[in-house]
Amino acid sequence: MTLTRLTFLTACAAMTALAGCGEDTGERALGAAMYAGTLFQGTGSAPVETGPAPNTVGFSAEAVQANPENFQLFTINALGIAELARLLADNGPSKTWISQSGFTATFENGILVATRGLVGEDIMAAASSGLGQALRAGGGTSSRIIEKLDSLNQIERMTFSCTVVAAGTETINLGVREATGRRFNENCRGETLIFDNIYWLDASGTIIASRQYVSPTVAYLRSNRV
Amino acid sequence: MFGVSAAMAIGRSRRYALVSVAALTAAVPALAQDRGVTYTLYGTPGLIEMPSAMSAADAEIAGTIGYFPGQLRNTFTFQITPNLSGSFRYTGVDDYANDGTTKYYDRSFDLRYRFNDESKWMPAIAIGLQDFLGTGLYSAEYIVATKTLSDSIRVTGGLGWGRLGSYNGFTNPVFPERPPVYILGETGGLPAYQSYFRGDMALFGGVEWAASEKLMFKAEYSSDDGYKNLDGSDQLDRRIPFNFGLAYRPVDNFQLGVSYLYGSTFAISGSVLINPRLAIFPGGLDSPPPPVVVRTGNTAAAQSWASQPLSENDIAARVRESMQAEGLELNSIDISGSTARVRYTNLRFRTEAQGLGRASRVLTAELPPSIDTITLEPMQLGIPMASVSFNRTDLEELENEVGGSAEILARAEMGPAGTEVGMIAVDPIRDDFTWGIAPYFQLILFSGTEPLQLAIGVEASASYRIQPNVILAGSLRQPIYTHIESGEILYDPDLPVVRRNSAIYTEQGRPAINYLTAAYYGRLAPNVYSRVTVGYLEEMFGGISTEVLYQPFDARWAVSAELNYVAQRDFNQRFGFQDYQVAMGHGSVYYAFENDFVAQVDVGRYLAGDWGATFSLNREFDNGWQVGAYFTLTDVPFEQYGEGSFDKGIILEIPIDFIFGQPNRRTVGTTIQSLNRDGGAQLYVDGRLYDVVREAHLGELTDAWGRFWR
Repeated sequence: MTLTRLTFLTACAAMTALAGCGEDTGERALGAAMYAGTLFQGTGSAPVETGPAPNTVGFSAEAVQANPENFQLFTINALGIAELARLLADNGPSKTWISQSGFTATFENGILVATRGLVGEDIMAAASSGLGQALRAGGGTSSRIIEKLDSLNQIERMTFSCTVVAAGTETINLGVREATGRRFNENCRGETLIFDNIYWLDASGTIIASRQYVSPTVAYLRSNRV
Repeated sequence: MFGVSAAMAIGRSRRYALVSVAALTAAVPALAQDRGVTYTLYGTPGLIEMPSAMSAADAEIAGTIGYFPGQLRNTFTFQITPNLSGSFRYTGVDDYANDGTTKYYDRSFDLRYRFNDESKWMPAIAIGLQDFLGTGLYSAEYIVATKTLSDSIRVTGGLGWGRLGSYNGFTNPVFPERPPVYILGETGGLPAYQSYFRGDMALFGGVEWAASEKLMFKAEYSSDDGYKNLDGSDQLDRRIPFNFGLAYRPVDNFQLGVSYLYGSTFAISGSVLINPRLAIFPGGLDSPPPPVVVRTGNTAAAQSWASQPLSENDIAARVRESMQAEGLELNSIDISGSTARVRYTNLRFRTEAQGLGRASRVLTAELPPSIDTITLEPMQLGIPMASVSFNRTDLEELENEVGGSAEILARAEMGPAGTEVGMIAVDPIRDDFTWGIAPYFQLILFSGTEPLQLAIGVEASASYRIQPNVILAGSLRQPIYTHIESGEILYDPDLPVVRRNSAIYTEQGRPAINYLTAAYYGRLAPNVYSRVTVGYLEEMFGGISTEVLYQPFDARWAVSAELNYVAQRDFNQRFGFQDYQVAMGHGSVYYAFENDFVAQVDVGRYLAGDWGATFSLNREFDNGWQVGAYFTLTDVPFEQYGEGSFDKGIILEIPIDFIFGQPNRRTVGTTIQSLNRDGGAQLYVDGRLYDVVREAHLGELTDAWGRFWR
């Protein structure tokens, strides 16, 4: 079992091959815009500054084994991502996780309320009402609001009406182990978009795995306990 | 509606993407009004040569090259507002003088206003001026109507004057005579009011059929019979009044056109389309910010607070490190009671709103829990520009909350930066001395009789920061390849040559000290900012430049005064000066309208000692794009100024982060001047205050506030 887990973790690490580059101070080049009048002026080195280097600290097999509750497995099929994330901030019901490739996702009571650092549009903020009750009641309706940043730096709000239905009990692959959970499908409809979220609950009613909508580029983020 | 699929279809019906999200691509929904709008050989929305009443999508920028044997048109068109568009065109006509040698270059400007939107029964109707202040090569006016008949068919009909009234025209009942737009030998470039909508008029029209979403066929009846050379001979063989063509748009940003003109001539065109409102990476590819640390939360940082009270210096050291990771430089800090006041410089993010967000997040993690109020004072060039105060619990509450962006803005207290009293200066982490070597290129477009002038070389630059607000900077340039027009300079005893000799500077400066300056920035009073720059200010002039700006934090307006005393540098751009010296400068008024437009008027004395004013109007998008135009009128008579009569041009500025997605404070920009001459010439000096300071003032902060939690 240990061997399996280590193999898996190595594979995870290998998948986080996002390139990181040096830091550009980003400071306005002093005195450089001399020809602002007539001429188009470029400085030669293309400013391909990027975000931080891949987040490799704190993902050792020992760390995961010691505190498995501080880790999640994130999967984004559209980006070919399947990697570990570790707990970055634990603010009560709201937990922010940072993945090995360096993006973060924040869940509040299991609901995805923010992402940062994903390709394409991040979720700036989100909220769901009625989901918890629907899950407890074995089905029902909920609504979801997702806020994004548009091309002009304005917050754009999208609202969705959702129906939640129970879909039986399933065996869930948590990456290194399997668990049994009750599956719920949440079908959400907005003005121009429909998506399908999935939640798996353990016997105590806690969300142990979910697949939730992020954006057109990313489609869904699947997350589960390890 | 996602992706390129909507690019060419004409219909106005709105479709929905009721599909599984996994099937969606990362594209931007097309807007209803921009569907199927294609560009003419003139680079304007329309048929083949004839205009239509359609407008491009708001803010769309189109660069079009249209060619047929004997004529090449380069056009830049901007959809200034949803209803108003403007175009600048640079045309080359072979053998215009019909002497077998001369290529004639002409610059022209168009405006079009759609005053009626299309409805179920009414067509879209627009009025337009073509080449309204050039030498009148293409001079025409029109009123045109366009109606969409089905998902794939659209018809256009119009009434034209000038060139558009030159074929099969009929007498204008009101103004039968059309005075000449331009008389040979005049300098041109003036609005030809006396001719607008006068003289013969004629009907034109056409039909467009979208065969698929990427391909459109067009046929038109042209009322233009103006393809004549100077001596009246024909520029092309006009056998029939009909043109046929197609427009093909394989992807959203490119359009190709092929057409057959007047039964005799093939023409081709290509357009590149960019819309500042549609970013390549909406929201950007910024690295994730550190989460807000909630004081009641259970985090490593929170545990470390409790261990022991930290001294102000210890806190400063921690904040300095954490800010550095977010591209922010801590300048000074003051912790007293339950309040922390922090001055920092944002080195990474184009918007100060995002810098404020990152600084806030860092401080929630690093400040002791006893601090309840966080006051941030963003700086640039050592100038404290604003004060923004947050209640720490608001930051803790509103992160990741729907509506949290607007709410934190509403709860923040903002105003001018405070005084330095109590602030403890912090040694900067980054080096005071920075340098770099990089290739440079200069591109002069559409000036004089050379459409494209170019200089490529290597530039070594360095700067040394004596204080955050006292900076030495210089650059040395070695050209490697230059293609610069250097026509004969005719000297005028009454008007010094201050810009027409720029080619000599480029030729002789090998290597050239491009600039070498010492700059001092300051804040004289809460809303008064100052700058003094001394040295070799630009390629052609050196001396002293001083500026004072008055700009209240929450005002839409600002005023500034700039006073310079400069001397003309030696052509070799070393340390010497020529004899010409001038005291010049201007007073400026700025106003930022609510609809993204910023107006600026400069009144004063220009480099050649001429007195006058510059008027400019820019559309500034909330993501940093700027598109605008300006003109300068001075006491230099039009005849003395020369071709074009007065200085005018187009301003374009593109933020680097729009292109690459990564955070970056730089922009690339250009000004296309109709002609670069000596009248109305402005001094180029870096660090003019208005553009620096207002980035952290209320208007700009609010415009980009969506990035606060980014």
